[in-house]
Amino acid sequence: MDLFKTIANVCLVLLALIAGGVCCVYGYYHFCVKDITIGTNYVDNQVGLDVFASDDLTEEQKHEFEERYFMEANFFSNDKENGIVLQELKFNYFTDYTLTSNAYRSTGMQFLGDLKQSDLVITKTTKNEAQKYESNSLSYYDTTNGVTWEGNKLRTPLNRDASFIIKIDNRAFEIQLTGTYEWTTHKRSWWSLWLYNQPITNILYYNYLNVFADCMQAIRTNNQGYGDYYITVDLSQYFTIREYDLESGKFKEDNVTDIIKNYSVLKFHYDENGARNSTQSTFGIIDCDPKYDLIQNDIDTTYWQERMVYNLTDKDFTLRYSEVYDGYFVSLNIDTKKLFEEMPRVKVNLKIDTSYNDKKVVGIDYNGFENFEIDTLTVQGTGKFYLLDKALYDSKVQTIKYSSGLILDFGKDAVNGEYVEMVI
Amino acid sequence: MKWYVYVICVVLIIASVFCGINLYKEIKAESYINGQIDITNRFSQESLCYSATNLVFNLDTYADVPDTYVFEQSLLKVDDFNAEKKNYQVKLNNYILFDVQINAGSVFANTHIDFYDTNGELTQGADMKISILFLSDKTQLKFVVVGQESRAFMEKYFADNGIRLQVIEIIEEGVKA
Repeated sequence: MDLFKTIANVCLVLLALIAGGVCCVYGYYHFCVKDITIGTNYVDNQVGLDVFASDDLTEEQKHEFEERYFMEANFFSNDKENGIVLQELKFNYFTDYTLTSNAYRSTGMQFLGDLKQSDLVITKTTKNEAQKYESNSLSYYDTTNGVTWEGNKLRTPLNRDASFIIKIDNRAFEIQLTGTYEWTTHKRSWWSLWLYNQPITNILYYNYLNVFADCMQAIRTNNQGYGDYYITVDLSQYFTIREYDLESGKFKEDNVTDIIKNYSVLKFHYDENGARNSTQSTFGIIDCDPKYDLIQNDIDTTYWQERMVYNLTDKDFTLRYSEVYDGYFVSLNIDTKKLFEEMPRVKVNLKIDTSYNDKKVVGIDYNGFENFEIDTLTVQGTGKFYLLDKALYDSKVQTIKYSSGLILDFGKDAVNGEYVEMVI
Repeated sequence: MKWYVYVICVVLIIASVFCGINLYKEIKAESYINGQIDITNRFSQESLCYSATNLVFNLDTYADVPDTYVFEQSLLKVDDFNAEKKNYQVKLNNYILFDVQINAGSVFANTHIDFYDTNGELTQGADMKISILFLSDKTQLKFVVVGQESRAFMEKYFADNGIRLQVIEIIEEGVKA
């Protein structure tokens, strides 16, 4: 029995010695040898994996859906003093690790005014206070489809507890605001007869207001100026990114890499104007009012249909010279007629001058505007103006205006249907 | 052995497990890069294609004509617009614009839209001038309307229909967007 006990003790001691050796090696490696490792995370486009893989989408639709960045901002600086200063920042992310478009979600924040980092008071906060803190000076909005936004309690809170799923290299990652700012103050200690300044470490837990102010500062200082641009911002001091482990089904923390840098594209619209109308907002809402407008709009803009009006003149027509009439006849070529057929709801007015570029225009050619819908035909000049056979046949012309010095000569079936003649 | 020797041994063994795992992690740790960012192609484009879901006009306090409202937008640089060598057409939503003046590096267009009420009667007609300047570092887009009624109706039209403005190069076989 004693023998066994002795052997066990020896083994234990040996094991302890080896363990001590491991501890020493670790201590030596950690403090004296260890090389620096750097991890870099680039947060780029957040378009769902299914969008580009889909066969149902046309190239045009893919082009339309191709942009969706983690951070998108909208900044109306009101430098022209024609509206209000409006700052908005939204985060595009996924609600699950499948990274498909049906898991899209966006949460945004809006500030009416020009928020700068210097406006934020640096005060010491406790972790518990900071975790759930959301600034009252901002309005928050949420969407799952990117079209309809709501700003109520059912939205995702933008605080330090919130973690978002994003796509990097077509893999799922989690991003969370975890950054802190530490600074040291000194306090004289009574027990050292006020001779010793005791250092006290203060911690500020960053919140989304800090991120918001820094993004706006990045936009304000971008070298391109006003417009729609993209910049890459360093989010390392604010966010922690964790990769999703397919095997364990968990997001794993990287506590080995010495320096972790997180970069993200910030897409922004920076405007010299001020915001005037809620439609200028990313969320379609300003100050929680979807009908916000600085101009009291008492004009009734209700309408049934609109029509794009085209005023075609001699330069748009095809000219044919006639020796018999000693002048040019105008008509519309088939290509132009085809163009108009493809355009919905147009209203076409024709204006013909009998003198065009030193050319004498004497009339409208055979079938010149046949089957081409015209609202008003205006002819200016003097002499005789011929409308040859079927010149305006089935054109549904409503009004024909002509100069008092002109005589209109109608050929066979030149015009059918009712119209009004006016001398101008 | 004394009891505290056992305690020390156990503590050392437990500590070595922790140190061993961390030592392994630190030795195996490598620098890494996840993802990539390439936004170089986001600062120029092949042709002009501006689209938005709505458009808001602001009062132009410097305009010669009173009651002038403008919408201005700086867009990405267009790589090779050159109307001296190429032909272009301008398209607003589904309409090809005819009243267009295309210069070497600029486009000016005039449009007119009539609005009808439910009885088919003309309610309002609105003129809008479009100017596009293709500059060396950006493209400047400007829409101008005169009169509050025109502004209000055009804003309503764009809110209802969105806006898609394209300057399209005409090539022999067709058009290149």
